[in-house]
Amino acid sequence: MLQFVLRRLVGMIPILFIITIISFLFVHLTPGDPIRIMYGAEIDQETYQTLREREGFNDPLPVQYGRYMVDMVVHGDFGQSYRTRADVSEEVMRRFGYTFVLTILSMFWAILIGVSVGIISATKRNSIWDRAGMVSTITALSIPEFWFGLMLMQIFAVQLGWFPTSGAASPLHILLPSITLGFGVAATIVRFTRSSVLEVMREDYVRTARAKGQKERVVIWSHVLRNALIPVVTMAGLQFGFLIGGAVVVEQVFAWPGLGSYLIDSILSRDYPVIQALILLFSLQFLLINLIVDISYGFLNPQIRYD
Amino acid sequence: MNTNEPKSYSPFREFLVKFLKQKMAVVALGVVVVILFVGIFGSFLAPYDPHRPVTSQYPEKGIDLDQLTNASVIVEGVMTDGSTIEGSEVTQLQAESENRRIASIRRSQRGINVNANTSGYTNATIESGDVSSSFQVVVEGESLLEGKEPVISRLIPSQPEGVLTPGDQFQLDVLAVLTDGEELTDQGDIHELALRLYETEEEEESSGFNAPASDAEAIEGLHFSSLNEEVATVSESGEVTVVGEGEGAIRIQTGPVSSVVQVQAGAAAEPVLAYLNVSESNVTLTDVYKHQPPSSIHFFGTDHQNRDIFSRVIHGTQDTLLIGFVSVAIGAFIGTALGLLAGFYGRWVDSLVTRMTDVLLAFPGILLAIAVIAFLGAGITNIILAVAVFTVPVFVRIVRGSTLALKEMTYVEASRSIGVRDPVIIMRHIFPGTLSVVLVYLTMRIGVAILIGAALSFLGLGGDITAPEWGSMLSAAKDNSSTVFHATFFPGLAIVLTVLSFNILGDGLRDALDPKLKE
Repeated sequence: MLQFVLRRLVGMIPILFIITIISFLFVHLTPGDPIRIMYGAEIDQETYQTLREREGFNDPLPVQYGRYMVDMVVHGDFGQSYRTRADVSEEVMRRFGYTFVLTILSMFWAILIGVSVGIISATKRNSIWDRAGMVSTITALSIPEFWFGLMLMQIFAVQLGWFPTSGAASPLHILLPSITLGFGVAATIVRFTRSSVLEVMREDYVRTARAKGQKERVVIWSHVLRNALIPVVTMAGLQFGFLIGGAVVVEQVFAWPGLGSYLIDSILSRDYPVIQALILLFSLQFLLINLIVDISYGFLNPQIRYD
Repeated sequence: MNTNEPKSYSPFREFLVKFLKQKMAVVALGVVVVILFVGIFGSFLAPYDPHRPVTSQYPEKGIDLDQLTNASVIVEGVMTDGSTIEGSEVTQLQAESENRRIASIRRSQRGINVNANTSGYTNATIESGDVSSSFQVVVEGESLLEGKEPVISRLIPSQPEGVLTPGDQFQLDVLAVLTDGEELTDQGDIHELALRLYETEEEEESSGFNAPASDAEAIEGLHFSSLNEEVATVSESGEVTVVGEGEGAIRIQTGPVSSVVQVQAGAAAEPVLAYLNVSESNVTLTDVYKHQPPSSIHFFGTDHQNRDIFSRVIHGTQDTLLIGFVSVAIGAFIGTALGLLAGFYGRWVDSLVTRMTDVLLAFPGILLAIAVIAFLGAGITNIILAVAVFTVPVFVRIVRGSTLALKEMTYVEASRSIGVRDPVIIMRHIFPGTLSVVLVYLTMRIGVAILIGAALSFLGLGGDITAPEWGSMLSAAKDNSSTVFHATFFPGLAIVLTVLSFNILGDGLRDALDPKLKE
């Protein structure tokens, strides 16, 4: 087990290396001279050269890469935003909490809705509920998150006035964005839960439980669901990464001040140090999530061996 | 099928039979065909130029702007003896709008003209001496018509019949007609409605002496007043007592609406104006300059720059389909090629390609696309490339899988043993075998590609935010039309319909071509 974790961690190193190189090269390969962007286009040649020297842009690329890595790993310094001159790491820390809360709550909705609808669909197979559930999931998978969010906003915030439209001023503000974000994942979880429950219901031990006259409710709750929900949990974990991707869009819809809207704003204003830091951060997140999901397989399902 | 008749096995026929069994998929195919048609001929089908405000296009389309913004209301005076006179004969006819910003009103030959200014609703009053009526003007457009409640349009009193003599007593009967056409006959109901509609701040008793019709005066509920106390008096509940000879009149009033009952004791007199009748008590106009609601000339309404949303959606089909098709085509081409190579040659080619796909697949598509755009900059070409990048690994994985299986087939081994060159084996013997899987995924990925492409242009990464593209239309609607439902609803509906059709079609193809693919 420990060996497996270690091997996975070691396996991450080359990927991390590639990602840091890509994110490092971001500032250098993208159009526009960083000095000109930072200090304005009208500075004269002499100041330009001194600034270039001072910022270290005249060093060879590997040296610059080394400095970038040292700054990042040792000092936790991700550089400064071109736009606001603020420390990127501080801004990231401030916004990370917002995105984190949003994704966690969305996952809660997704699991709540997804698992319950999935179970109903599977246990009442081919009933009207099952059909309705399946039709809604295929529809839900075809609805763009941002439009769903805009529609929720139109109905519940603009027309009915129950919720605030956008921002993050009160706890109530998180409700619409989190439902929007959780909705797409809920559809995936419904499908997955349904097929998983159906599969387990065909198992011999379920037939045995029924044969010995066990009540259907007990069969479902203690025999079927316990086993059927294991893969659902891991699948939900994998969806976390996709929630973070979806958060980028949903944050933009509801003006939620998280990392996603930070990323988009930075791309639109070509604030490369911020983009650089965020791409690195997002990649790291995915690698970690995948690792955690892989490890959790073992805890949830002892049949899996790590060799 | 007749088994006696030997028929050559046709995989295509089998596929067709299986596919046609799935009604949903067939319907989806129909919708996809329609969408493709709209995408190709969109510019000919759109009724309006999607880039210009519709108001400037009305002259060339032969639509009369005045018809939408103007209405004339014919006024008619009803005399106490029941006869009617035309609006032009009514003396001192005045008309006023409660809120001139929304609609302005002026007198015309036969009645009055109403002119819409901006969306909303207001009440208008027409007045002649002691009598007045009102009607409602609704200007449809951006703002929601919340709390739009019908008001009293006119009060129709019944005139006393026969000759009255001093000492007579009678009860006034009045019928209130509301702006929505409802009629109230019970005085208590009228009183309550009037109390609610015309709440006054000051609690002031009306003097009753020749009360002039003025808005400043506080009138609560249904109110009766005598215009000549020497002839008739009236109680609060509308009971009239004739006290002397001469020409008298009772004025019945609720808020701005009033009418007159003639009380004539003794000698006959000329009939006077009893109330004013309007030809329309609820005038509906359109605010044509911004955010027109869906109507027969603009099926989906207009947007913040008054452009026809229907035409923009039709036009946008092309861009949306372009993003979907081109990006998936590029992704599928590269992905299939890499998948064939990796599956066929194995060893280092395989491990390199698989490692790369694994890394790419670890990221959610939208973030990968955003990262590509961050590199390349905003623009529709870059959106296509970005979507293609995350489509590649999907095809690599699926094609590599089938190639691995096909490689072991006897016919592949046979062709290899007779010395057929590798490229020929790949193209002639392996690629056709992967085709059905590729086709299924092609259809299903188009839906995903359209979704991601729309999301990217919604985020403003498509470059031109004024372009009639569904994603950017939604982005513009979010910023400029946040209170308008139709501006966000229709472009999104177009996306959902398109993606849903492709998804259902993909599911149908999968079930018909290769049921084993079903996850």
